[in-house]
Amino acid sequence: MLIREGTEVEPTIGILSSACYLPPTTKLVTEVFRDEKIPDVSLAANVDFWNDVGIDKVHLGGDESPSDLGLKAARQALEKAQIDPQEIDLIVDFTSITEDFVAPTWSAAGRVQSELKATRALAIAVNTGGCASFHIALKYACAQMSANPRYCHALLFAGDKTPALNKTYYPITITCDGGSATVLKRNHPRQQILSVEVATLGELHDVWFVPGLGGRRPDEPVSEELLYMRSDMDRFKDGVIKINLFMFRKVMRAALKRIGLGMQDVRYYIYPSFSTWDQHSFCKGLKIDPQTVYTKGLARHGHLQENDMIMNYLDAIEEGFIREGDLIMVTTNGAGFNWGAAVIRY
Amino acid sequence: MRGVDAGIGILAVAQQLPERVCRVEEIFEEEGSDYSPEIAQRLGIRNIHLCRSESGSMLALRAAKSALDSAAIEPEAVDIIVDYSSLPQEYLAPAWNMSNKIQHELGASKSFTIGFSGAGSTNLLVAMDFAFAMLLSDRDVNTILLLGADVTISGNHLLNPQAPLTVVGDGSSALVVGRNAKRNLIRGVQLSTRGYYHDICYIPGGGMTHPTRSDLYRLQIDVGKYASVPKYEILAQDAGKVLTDSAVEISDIKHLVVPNLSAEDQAECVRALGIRNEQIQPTALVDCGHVQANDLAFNLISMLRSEKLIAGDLFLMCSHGMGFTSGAMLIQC
Repeated sequence: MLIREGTEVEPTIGILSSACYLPPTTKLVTEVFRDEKIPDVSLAANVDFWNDVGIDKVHLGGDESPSDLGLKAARQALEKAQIDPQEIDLIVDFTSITEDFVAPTWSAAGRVQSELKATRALAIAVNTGGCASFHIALKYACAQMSANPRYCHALLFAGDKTPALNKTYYPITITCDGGSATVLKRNHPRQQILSVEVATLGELHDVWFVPGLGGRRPDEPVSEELLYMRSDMDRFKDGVIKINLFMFRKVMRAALKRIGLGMQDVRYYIYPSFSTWDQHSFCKGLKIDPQTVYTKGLARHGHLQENDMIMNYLDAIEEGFIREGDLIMVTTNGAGFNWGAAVIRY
Repeated sequence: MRGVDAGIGILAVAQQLPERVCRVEEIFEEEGSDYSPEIAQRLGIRNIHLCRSESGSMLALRAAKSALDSAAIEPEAVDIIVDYSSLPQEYLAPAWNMSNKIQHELGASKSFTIGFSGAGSTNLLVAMDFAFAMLLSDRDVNTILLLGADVTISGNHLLNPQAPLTVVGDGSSALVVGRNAKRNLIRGVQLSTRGYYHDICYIPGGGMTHPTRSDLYRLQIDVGKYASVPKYEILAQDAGKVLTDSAVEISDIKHLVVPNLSAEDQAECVRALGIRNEQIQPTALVDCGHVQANDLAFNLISMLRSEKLIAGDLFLMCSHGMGFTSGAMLIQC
């Protein structure tokens, strides 16, 4: 989507602020492997998960609910933006895994609206995209802010927490609990969102899934394991891995083409914190200089689902990897299966 | 008038109901609730449809194919698929969503998928609002398929069995929205949420708060809090805003499409908006009961089949739903 084309007014939509919240308690990955009985064997692709995952520790939500995590990030983002919650016109929950209560019946959007006292806002939740749900939320918010002058400020937030003994998404990553939020502003000249592209490959819809109580097999006992992420490894290897880089290339090129740019114009990449082996595969397969991809957060916290996008974007700015005027490619894949690319001029 | 200028409208709408039909008296008996003439009159529901072995996605696929056929649009031409379902799906959302499966089974290879949570009966208007915004803001987007499928949790058809507010049935619907529409042009959409009421109607068990409480894996409503929501005033406000934005008076509205919660609720909606009861008829209330956001699609189909409106007539689609989410959409027939 080229945000500024095809509209009566051509607003620029920029990022006013972003924030992340990590709960204070941490757990070493060696303890995660021990507690979850993760096998110490090489994958078919000659990847040794234990040694190549590249994560030292993850944060645990403990008594905090997923929506608590999202709410804390949202409060921080609003404080950084220095705007009153009552100025928020849109609230978009883009949480991608199990929430406090069963979705799509419930979402955290209403609770966050209530807690923030953002009385003017329309609060909705998107429930597709997996780890690319941030891109889905951007697509939603940018369309609304472009089409409707009444939407000036949008708050996008997510809060994700995995069950205590389901931190490992073997063989991809180890998950970290946390929340993230970003505030968008219409006609904001900085951190402009120039283009957002999303692609879906629905035949891979059930490579990753959470069964829930509704997806319980007749012989299956009721337990928290029904909220564990399950995967079809054969289809992951034969379906996702084989097409993954092609799809990344497709969405990134499409996002750039819409604004008349190419891969050579990208100065820096924001990519998920899945694992070292995955980051190497991305850089090598797409011939991207690893120095232009933010990877330093991986060891510190592991994979924060779709929150990786905001967390890594913030860290890259704070650590001086992104400078004014740089063209940033924010890209990820996610369950569904989806791929997302957003181009930001910092 | 931007939507009308751009010819953005509803190109087709379809519904898919499971074959099995059950009388409401049987549902009351199965779920241990007393049925009386007073309740029958208040609800206004005679039958509901129930799935036997059909899944929500099976119904949604059929509804989607029917809508696309009706619009004479190939699945490959669909740019976006939007899911407005409200009840639990085959696997747990948001990690899994039916729209991806439908994208594959339809062969809608160009489309990306998006779904919305937490708006209940108003979820169709949330989806329509997004579709309208996409068509206004992105000239590369031409065709959007919206769909919903809701299959009730077993034994959970009566919402508040002590004094049922509605009888929940199963079913699916789909709409195609796009450019160059000759009829049913979208003039505007107005939505509002009151987050304080987010937990009035929800499923407490099975999420991260009560992961193993299968006894709480039921749609339940806080009747006291529900009664305190000024839902009809909010509905009237939303309708008023969308009318004002289009310089239209309520007296210009020929028809109103509302959800099928109950006859009592429909009467309150009519009263709040100051129109006549016959302006919401016919509806699918009697023979389908409440099927979440699909209600609006079912009742739109009932209205179109009745041929009571002529080209240029204005009608409103209004709803209040979980979240608490309320909305109104103005359409020119």
